[in-house]
Amino acid sequence: MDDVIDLPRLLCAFFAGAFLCLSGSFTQVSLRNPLAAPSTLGIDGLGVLGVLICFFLGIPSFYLLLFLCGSIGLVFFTKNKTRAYKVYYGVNTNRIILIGLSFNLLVGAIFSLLQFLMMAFNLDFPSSIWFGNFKFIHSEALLVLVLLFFLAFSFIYKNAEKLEVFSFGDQFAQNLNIDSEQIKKMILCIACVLNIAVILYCGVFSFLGLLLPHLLRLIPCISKSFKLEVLLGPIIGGAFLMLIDSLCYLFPVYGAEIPAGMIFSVLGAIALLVLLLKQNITIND
Amino acid sequence: MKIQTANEFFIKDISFKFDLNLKDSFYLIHGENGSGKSSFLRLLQKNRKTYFMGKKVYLLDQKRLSPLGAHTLDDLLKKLKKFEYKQSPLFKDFYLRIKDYADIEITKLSGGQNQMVKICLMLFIGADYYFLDEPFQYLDKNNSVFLEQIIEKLTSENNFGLLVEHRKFDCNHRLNSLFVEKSLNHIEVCNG
Repeated sequence: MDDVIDLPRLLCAFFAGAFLCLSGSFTQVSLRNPLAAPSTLGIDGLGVLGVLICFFLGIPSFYLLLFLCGSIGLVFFTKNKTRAYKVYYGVNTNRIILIGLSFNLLVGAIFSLLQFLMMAFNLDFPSSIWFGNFKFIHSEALLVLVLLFFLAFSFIYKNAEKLEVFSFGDQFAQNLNIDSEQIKKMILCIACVLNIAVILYCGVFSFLGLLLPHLLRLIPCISKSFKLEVLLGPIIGGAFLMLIDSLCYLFPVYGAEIPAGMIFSVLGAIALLVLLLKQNITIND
Repeated sequence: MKIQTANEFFIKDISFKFDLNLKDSFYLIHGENGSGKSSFLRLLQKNRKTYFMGKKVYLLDQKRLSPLGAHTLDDLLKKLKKFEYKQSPLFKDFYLRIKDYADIEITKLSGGQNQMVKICLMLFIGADYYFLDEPFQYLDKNNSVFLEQIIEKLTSENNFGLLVEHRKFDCNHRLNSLFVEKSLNHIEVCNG
């Protein structure tokens, strides 16, 4: 093992951290629930299903990403609202979170079953996808992540003030002539796409999207401004994941590198428990 | 006019007429629970537009104001100055009344304090038409009386307003009435 990490690997870790942080902030503010995150809304499960489809059908990840982006766009932006849209808008957010967690469990069970069968027949299986890492990153992944980063950032930069007011409440933003429905749809779409891109190219980093926004809000200036949270948060989140991945690379355990995603599964699950047990948490439907 | 929630159509066609030029053009909306009074207010803000008949509308809904971060009322007021606002002359009086908790995080405020903050923000942003959905909820007696005075002043300032409220209060008799029957099938407007 080299003592020097590849630049593409570092960059991918940065973008993945940035995307997960942004996804977490966006889902929490759009659903007005501090427990909302891609991992708790079932988006992780959707991404893993996508990886399995890519693996079994031999479809390149990029085409699947395009297909999923289109599908997510259809769910939120078609005139005749789809069932998924109605579920997301008509049901209270705690129920959405339970549905999301259950969906993740279902995908996890399917994944384990397939893994068992493939191992029984001595066939290849993308087992490492469940715990994200940046070992096998390639230039296409980096290109797609860079592109998405600039698209997401241009949206945030253009709508920073609107996002700030939207974070106070839907109706409140509406009273200031901000189309909160549109903003809500846009940021939910962006959160889904960014998170799925990370899973398709780097694997699952469970609960990182939940953990990072809460850690960021411990910083006083960020806790007082959602605009700063979405502008600075991804940079801090990206640097954080880059650091953790570098530590995993530089300090292997018995010669084996621990996937960064595995560390976040443990830390994130503890954070979710703490949040659930915390007395003063306010959950707004 | 048609209205649709995320799940279903619940109203097909209704028609109603308001005299926006009346001096006391604040309407009190009556109706039993579940008759669609709040839905009616949202209906008037169709497609969530801030302008109704060319005038600026402010809809004060029933939900708590709950920003995710550690925002105070003062933070919010500072940030709102970047947006188009039309501060009501009543804002200053109202702000002085709640000044004690203007620098406390909004999420840590009680229900009544949160409601007062919402009303304060409404007066700061200002509007021509005010749609108030149960503005007296969570308020104690003193704050309720104060809000009644504010509503009376808004009425006398020639603002148009719709008010959903169950309890009786002093300026009740001065408000026009608007009855909403079950499922919004029938709406009747009575003056005075």
